[in-house]
Amino acid sequence: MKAFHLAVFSLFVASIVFAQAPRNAATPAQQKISWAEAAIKAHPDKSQPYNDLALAYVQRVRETADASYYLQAEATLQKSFQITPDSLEGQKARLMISLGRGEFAQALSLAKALNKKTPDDVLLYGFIADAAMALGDYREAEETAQWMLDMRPGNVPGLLRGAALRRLYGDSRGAKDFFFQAYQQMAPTQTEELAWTLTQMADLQLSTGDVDGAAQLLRSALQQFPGYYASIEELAKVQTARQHYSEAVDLLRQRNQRFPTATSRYALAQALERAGQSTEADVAYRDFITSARALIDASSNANGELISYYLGRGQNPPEALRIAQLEIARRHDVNTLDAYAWALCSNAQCEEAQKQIVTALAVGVREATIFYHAGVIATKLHEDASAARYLKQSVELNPSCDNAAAAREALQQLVPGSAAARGER
Amino acid sequence: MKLFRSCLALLLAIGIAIPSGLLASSHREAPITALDHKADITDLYAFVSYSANQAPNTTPSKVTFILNVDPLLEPANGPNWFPFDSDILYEIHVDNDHDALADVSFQIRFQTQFQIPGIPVGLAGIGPNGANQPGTSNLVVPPQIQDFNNPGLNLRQTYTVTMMRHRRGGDHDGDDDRDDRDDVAEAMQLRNSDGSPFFAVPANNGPRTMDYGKLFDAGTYRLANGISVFAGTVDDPFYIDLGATFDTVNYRTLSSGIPGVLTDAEDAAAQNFASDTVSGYAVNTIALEVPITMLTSTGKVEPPTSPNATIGVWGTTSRPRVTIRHSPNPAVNFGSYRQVQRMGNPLINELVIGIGSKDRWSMDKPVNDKQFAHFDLDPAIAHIAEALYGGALKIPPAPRTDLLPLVTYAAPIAAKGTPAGPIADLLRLNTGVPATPPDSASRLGLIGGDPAGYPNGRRLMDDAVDITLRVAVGGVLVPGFNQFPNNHLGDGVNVNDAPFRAQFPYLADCPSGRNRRHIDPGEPGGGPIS
Repeated sequence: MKAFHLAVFSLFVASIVFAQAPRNAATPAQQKISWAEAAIKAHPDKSQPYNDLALAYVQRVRETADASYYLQAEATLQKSFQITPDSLEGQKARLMISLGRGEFAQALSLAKALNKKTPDDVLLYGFIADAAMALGDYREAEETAQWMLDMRPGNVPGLLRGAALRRLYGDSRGAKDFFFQAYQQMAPTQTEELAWTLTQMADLQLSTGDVDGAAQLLRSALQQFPGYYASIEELAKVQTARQHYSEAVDLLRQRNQRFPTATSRYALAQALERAGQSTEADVAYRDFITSARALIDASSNANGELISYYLGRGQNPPEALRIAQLEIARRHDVNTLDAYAWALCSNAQCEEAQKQIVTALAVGVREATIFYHAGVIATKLHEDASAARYLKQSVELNPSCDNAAAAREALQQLVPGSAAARGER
Repeated sequence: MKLFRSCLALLLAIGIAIPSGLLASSHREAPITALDHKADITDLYAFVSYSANQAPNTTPSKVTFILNVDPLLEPANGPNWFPFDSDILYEIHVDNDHDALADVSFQIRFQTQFQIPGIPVGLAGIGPNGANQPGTSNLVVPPQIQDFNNPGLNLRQTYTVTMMRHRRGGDHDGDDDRDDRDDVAEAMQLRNSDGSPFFAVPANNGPRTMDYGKLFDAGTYRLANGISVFAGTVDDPFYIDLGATFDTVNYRTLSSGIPGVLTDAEDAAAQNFASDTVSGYAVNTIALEVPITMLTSTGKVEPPTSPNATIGVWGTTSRPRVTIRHSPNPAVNFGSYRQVQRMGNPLINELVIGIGSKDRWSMDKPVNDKQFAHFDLDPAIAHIAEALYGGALKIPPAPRTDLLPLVTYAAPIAAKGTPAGPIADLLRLNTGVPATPPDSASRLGLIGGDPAGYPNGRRLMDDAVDITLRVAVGGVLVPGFNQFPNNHLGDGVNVNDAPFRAQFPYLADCPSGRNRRHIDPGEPGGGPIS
């Protein structure tokens, strides 16, 4: 059934991709920048063109990963606010910059204030949901995303937030359904939005072990928006799942040619290591450490990757725990809870680790890595039955996950020789 | 993990593409309902029932509720006319313990049937025997529709009415309300004694096709438990110079020489001096007449001086919703609805709530209305009128505590000792106040010296527009403001274009689609264009 759905969807996507007229060279954000600049020339005394330009810059960040556009957006907004200090659209652009920079608590507060003033602006609920999800307040995120869907059934921003929440609640089929509905409604000219949605769907497929399905979606994404860094990063994950490490390295090198992030540097270093290119991997890891450590205290950081590094190749569990504690003081989303639990476990604090991972799993999330961590923590606490259950879930959920081999091995050690221990159904 | 996080920042720009809300007008007051006519509530009425020969000071026994939906229906507009939407849950709620939560609710659900699916129209009929294909006995056109089993009533609707009592003592399912299925203590489906279904009366498309009057009478059901029910397409009882109202309050200049101000004679006349824009249009109505003993918290008919006499009423329309979370328990998840619209007092959403809050208001529950108190107690329409009159009209300063009786349980509607309850837009009705005999009732309700009229409940004849202009804009309940021109504000439309019945369901016949007339400015009965 799953394969059938994917096949139908792929045909649908392909028909859209090939049905499109030849595109202009300019991306959707670049076009909006041009229009807004022309509008500013024509109406320099109006605030809305400045707001439009700021929003286009924010969109350009998403197209390119070049965060310097945020500075241009802020400068543009200053001009808007000089003309209309309380402009709602200007405030929304400011809010989007804040969210993009990972300033979630501040963004949540501003989004709520704006929502109180204009409760019929559907997108403001989306911003509340974004910030609440990032901070781990899933109840608030769900309430606001549900309002979006209730107010305007089938609206794209609402469906996308709903899809993210459904995935967090372990409802991958429901998440796919929402993504599919959202995709169907997007304008064919919004190529980056289409590619982004396809990339999200690919990640969902990959998380359930459907490597070929993910690859198919990513090919479509890159047809929609050639060179899209987010799709290339995801495609590298696909190649890693296939154990095609050299191809993953090539993709990540391509990705990092422009505006690399600490996260993408870490992905490249890992790929190089897996490909057996140890000297280059050493250099890449050093690059990653330098860039990521510079961001440790920043709102937008790569602390998740740093924790992973120090618990693995970096062999510095205390430093991993220190960083995890910084992060858990800021947010309680499932990924932070998982990273914190894993760091605690590696520092021989398994009981506390179990509390944290159980909190994460209570949300309903079904990710192979989190189940693997839960299994190892339970093993260390000699809770063999729980450990076997978690490890089996990890292996069954995504047999091509990074931790799949380790999970199988751990299972086998728990119940040597048994079918359950081999992760068989 | 990485993508999980990075996707969040990426999510943002998706929102840019969302379309902005559309501006609303008239009966379509909120953007959400402007896009969903079938779920749009036009008016809610609640009043102590009366009869044509009503004697003064008769102790009340029943209350009539009327919920109108789907505005400005042109009765000539076939071939489907205006069936109720079977996907919509229509509800009338009653709060009888002053906490703005439902204690009694009536749920109305419609079902649609096609009797002759091959016929291209929903309504067809001619003569006592119909019309055959010439030279054959093949019936092509059914006989005139005189009852609900006539096949000419091709698109036929039945409906169910469920009366529910909610549990007292607050929310029981943790969702901060007490008017959904999870809080129901008792549910009773209302039935005809012979078990036959309730049929909805169709639109009146013309005298050849149907005997609308017969259908109207047949569709008025009087049940053994004292409740009466009616649903169908009727004349829209609301009357207003809608065009002038929404041309930025551009009321017509009548004999006073001041736009939107009536002379004593005009004010007293039971006739129109301006165009009733709603004339000739129909609306879909759901009417219930319920013994007061089934509504009050004590189960008794309370005297008007009793704090238990006053109830709060509101209507809602809801549609099934798609939920983010799939409930593991189907019994809990089943029947989840999203509220599309609600109504208590007339004109609140149209003229009081800001455009950026109308949908939230429509979808929220009255008990949460504190968030809209700044609109209720400082209505923008008053400031707009003040500005338009250029200083000739003085309005009371905010906060307008004189408007509290509209949004709390307060005098002169509720008796002394009645808990005020939270700020909530409910139509409040003191069920102990006797109905005024029709001949002596005032269209201006309470401010016209008629204690049984709006805002003590609302009757079909009550002139909601003029009362709102005088109370909300003119502030006539505030000492010093009950003076000219404040107490003579009016749109010049004083009566409905069609006479109301003098017994349940009180509504007038749906205008004939073939012969309907919309009375426009400049024509007889439509007042001046200027």
